[in-house]
Amino acid sequence: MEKSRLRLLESFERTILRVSINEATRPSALEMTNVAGLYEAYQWLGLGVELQIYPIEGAESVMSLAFPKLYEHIDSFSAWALFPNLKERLLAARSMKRFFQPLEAVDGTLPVSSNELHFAIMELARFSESRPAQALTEALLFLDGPRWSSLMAEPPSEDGIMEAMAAEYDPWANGYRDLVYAGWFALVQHIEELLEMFDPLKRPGRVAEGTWTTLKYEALRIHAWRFDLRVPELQSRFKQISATLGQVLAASDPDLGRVDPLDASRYVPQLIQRWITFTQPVQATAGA
Amino acid sequence: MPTISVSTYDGNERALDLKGQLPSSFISWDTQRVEVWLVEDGPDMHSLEILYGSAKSYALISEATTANRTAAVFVHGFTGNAVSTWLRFQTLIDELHDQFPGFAEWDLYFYDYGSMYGNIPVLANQVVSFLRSVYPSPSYMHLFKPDFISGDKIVVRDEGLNLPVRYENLVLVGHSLGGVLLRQAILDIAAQRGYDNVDVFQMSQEDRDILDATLRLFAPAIFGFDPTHLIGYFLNFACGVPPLRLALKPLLDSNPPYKDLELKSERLQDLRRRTELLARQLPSARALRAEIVYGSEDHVVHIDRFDCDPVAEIARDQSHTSICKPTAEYQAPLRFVYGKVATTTA
Repeated sequence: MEKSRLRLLESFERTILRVSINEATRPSALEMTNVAGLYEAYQWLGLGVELQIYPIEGAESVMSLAFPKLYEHIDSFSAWALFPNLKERLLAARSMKRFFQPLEAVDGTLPVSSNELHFAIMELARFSESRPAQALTEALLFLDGPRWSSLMAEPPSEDGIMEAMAAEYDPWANGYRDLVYAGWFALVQHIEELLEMFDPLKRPGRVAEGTWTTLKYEALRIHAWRFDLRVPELQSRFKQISATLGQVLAASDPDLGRVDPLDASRYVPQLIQRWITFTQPVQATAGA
Repeated sequence: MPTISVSTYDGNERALDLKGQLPSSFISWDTQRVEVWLVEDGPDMHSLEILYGSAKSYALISEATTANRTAAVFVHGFTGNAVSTWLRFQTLIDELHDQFPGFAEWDLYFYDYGSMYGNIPVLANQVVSFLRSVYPSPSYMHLFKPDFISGDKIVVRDEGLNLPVRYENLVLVGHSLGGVLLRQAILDIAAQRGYDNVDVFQMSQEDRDILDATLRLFAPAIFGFDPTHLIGYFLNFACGVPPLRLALKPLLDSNPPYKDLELKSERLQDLRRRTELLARQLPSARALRAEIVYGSEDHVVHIDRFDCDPVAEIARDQSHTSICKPTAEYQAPLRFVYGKVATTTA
């Protein structure tokens, strides 16, 4: 059984953690969110350990690779206000040389449906390492007023948005604006997936309700700071990006009669309302 | 109605209100106490294995010890990936073991590739290589070569991988662009010496075995799909987001061009012509004839079939994206993939 745990860990390491390390160690205009992605990968891994689908010793070994990069930015990371307890935890881990707390009652038996939980974590974590999603986070949360105005001064390029969705897109060479708008698609898709995943009526039959609830609350705590639409400034910026994108879509094809499909459908305000309602019970615990 | 005590798989006991739904099977019963084996709470019958050399591909390898094993290769579509396109397929094969017992003897390979770049011939060529490494004899060295960055301490790959020496069946499953890639890959194998020189006896036995695969396609884009422009991409995207799809339904319904995107694509016309030609020349090559299912709410691809294909199924109320994502209530994708191969091997 321990072998199976290691293979799940290996899957996480290869598709999430390694990507996060690569992103955090490459020079980029998105350094803030790149490092945030690495912090989040650490927390996703910790959640997997907590749910007992990844072995704690293996997770410690994997994390030791990310260790240097993690602490390189620990004093300059601007989003600490969003992770108050995480910083203390990381500093404690540095002194103790241990990233995860030993678990009680680990008997070497995999929890039922460990694959289900593993794939859920992979889906949740994938958003954090998406480059368009990182760019959108940077724009929504970290751009100061003048830089935000500069970003919004010009519309994105249709072709640029499409290129920005490709994995090989280089923001240095191709610009930042289109990447932000590509991030709109990543964010909307992710929010819809979260709403679907944690619909109370759609809990996987083999996963205990308590486990699923833990997953939901931890998932929101770990990465929903990127798209907390309850924050007025963030919501306002999201609406502005949506409105500009709608206009670009309307202008892109005469067959559509130049109708802004986002404005006409009123989809964006409805999405915001659904998301705020969904996250309301978590408000008190977020950032813990 | 009394409350009864239930012994669950993990050895714990919990109270069960009989007004709730009873588990699907039980071992013994009396009026005071019921011993229940919660089949749906059983462990995974597949272990996850990471595949190497092909982006983020992975496999779910059966833990069955039977000799009669089936390999299934899943190829996602445009902007998809090997996890999200097939969401819940990975776990429902075990969770719904009662309904689909044959899956316990299947190894499922979820192939991943970068659909946003590359083109059909290049991507199809990579699919061919992948198929040859899986079937009929899975190549440990090509598929499962160790590559764990943590070093020797936690490398666990040298033993215990429950691979068969040889598979008995191959099922190819594609969604959208993945369907096009699989059909192109089949052509490339069948006509590797040219379309005017097709002779199965000049092929390796392994390639002939691949041509005997069952091809099952969800909403294949074999008649056109070109979301390379933003509005095309957006409409494709909207179709995968149910609330957005509902909001935009009048727009989607009134714009037939987007149902027939790039309908006259020369490449897709060649794909059709060549597949139908080879299906006549190689009537025993099952992989040239696809079983197809479309969703009635698919606004992305043109719904049709090649002349050599049986009539396509239509799944009511399913979109281009939802068509291949099973749930406990929507089991049609599992039934479609399971098909007759599984019932003969179960």
